[in-house]
Amino acid sequence: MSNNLLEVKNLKKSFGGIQAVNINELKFNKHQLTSIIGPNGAGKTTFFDLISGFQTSDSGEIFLNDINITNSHPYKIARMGMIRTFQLTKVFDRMTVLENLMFSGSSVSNDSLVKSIIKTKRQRNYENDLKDKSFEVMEELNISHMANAYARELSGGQKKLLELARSIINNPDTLLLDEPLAGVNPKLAEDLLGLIQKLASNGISILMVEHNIEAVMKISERIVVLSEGSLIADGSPGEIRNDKNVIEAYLGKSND
Amino acid sequence: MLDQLGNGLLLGIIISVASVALSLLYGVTRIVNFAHGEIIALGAIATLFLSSPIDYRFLFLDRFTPLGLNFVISCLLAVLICGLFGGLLELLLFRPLRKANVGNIAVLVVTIGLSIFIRHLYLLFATGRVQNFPLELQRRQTYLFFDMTPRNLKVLIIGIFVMVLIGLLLTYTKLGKAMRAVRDSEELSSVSGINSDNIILITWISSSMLAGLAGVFQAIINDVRWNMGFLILLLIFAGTVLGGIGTSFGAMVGGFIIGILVQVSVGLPFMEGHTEAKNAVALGIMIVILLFRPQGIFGKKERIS
Repeated sequence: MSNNLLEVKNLKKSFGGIQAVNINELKFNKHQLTSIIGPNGAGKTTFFDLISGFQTSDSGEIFLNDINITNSHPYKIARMGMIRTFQLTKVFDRMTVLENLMFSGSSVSNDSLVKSIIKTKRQRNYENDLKDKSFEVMEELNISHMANAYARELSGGQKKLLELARSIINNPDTLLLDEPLAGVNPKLAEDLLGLIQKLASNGISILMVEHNIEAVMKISERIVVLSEGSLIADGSPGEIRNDKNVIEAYLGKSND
Repeated sequence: MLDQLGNGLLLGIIISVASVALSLLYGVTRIVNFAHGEIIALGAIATLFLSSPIDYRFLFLDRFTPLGLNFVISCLLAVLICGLFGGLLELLLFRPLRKANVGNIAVLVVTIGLSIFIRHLYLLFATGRVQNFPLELQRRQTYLFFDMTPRNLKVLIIGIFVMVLIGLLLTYTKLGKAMRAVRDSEELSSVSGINSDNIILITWISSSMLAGLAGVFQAIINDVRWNMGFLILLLIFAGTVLGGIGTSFGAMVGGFIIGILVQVSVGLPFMEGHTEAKNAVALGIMIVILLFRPQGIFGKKERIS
């Protein structure tokens, strides 16, 4: 097995006249915590949309674990073990926290129409296991006291936690986190960072888009910088911190 | 007033089944389907075509000969035809519109156009005159505190049975949960490994089958007309909104309430000689209820943020 998690080649996407993404070649390694940063409009979210199947590319190819997933359906990519979150937190509003987790955690094969009506012992065991596991994840993220609350009643920060819980319930190989710290208070941000680091140390490969540079510098093993859709820098936090292109992209060219 | 209760229950079951169908579709796809009435009429017209005796000459402009099949089989086939029709609508029309990100209002206007188009196809090719199913006449009998014909009682019971079954399926099966999930967020469902296109297709098919069943009921209880679905469409909308839009259980109860209110209001003293105005009382009451419970009887208040 190669160490390639995700590989994109000549990936292009434009909206009207704007080139949102234009990346010649970019590889991500397994079991690494990589952050993608860049100024607003750099194409970070579009890049996430392309690799998770939510948008189709104009041209180019995307490989996940060496399998070509270019323009695959989002649900197929999710079933391959790459789960994403969204910039604007999404939860199933009309389900409880527990139902959110059990729904996302249930495998397709165990949920045929017949099996959900006629419950065999095996099916009941499966559901109990799933419930136990949901509580395990909720304990870990400190939301188990809200198990029976409807997701629409949660605060923004609690929804972030639920979203993360939902993403990890299926033991994904890869997480795509789209601004996991946006709009949460500093204390929760710190907790979330700790959780993300813990997930990474458990062997989950993580790609993260985040604007909080301090946090990114602290936990990333590698940082990829996009600007106007193109790759402008790629390296360790130390390298990125001193990169001239990056400083220019964020602060504009100095006039002297 | 009470002598109208039987009629109220019968109108109630038609509207109730049709409202559940409309609400199911709206709940998952956010489409307000004005062509819903035409799918209802398709159920009735298809049954008429399948079951009428072969020598029945006045049907279908003398162009097509009815098939003369067994009546129950005809009803079942008609419901399947409606499902097929709904599935084709999704595949050929509404899915492409969705993929092109056409807005809700535009889609609504499309359904209005579709409604007018299909309705007039019926007028052209099917039946411009009022028709009846090939069933013998029955006498009304009294059951508990209402009276109706034995056949209509069967319709009532089958209708309630089907709706309870649908309710259980939606609540307890993965398919039902997936429908609720797609309703909350199509994107999030995809991330959870759900093929939302398939769920929406299944929703179209099941909604259309239910609508077809409502049409068969309406034709058994009353008669077959080219614009029969359109005539009760507003009452169906009323039932759906009254129960709380997007909730199947609410649509069931809301449909019954509207049906009973419409028929019972015929017995009001000031309505004597003005029965064609019967919808006014029911819809007036609906407006008053919504003033006090804007989310509908069973709708839930949402956190707005």
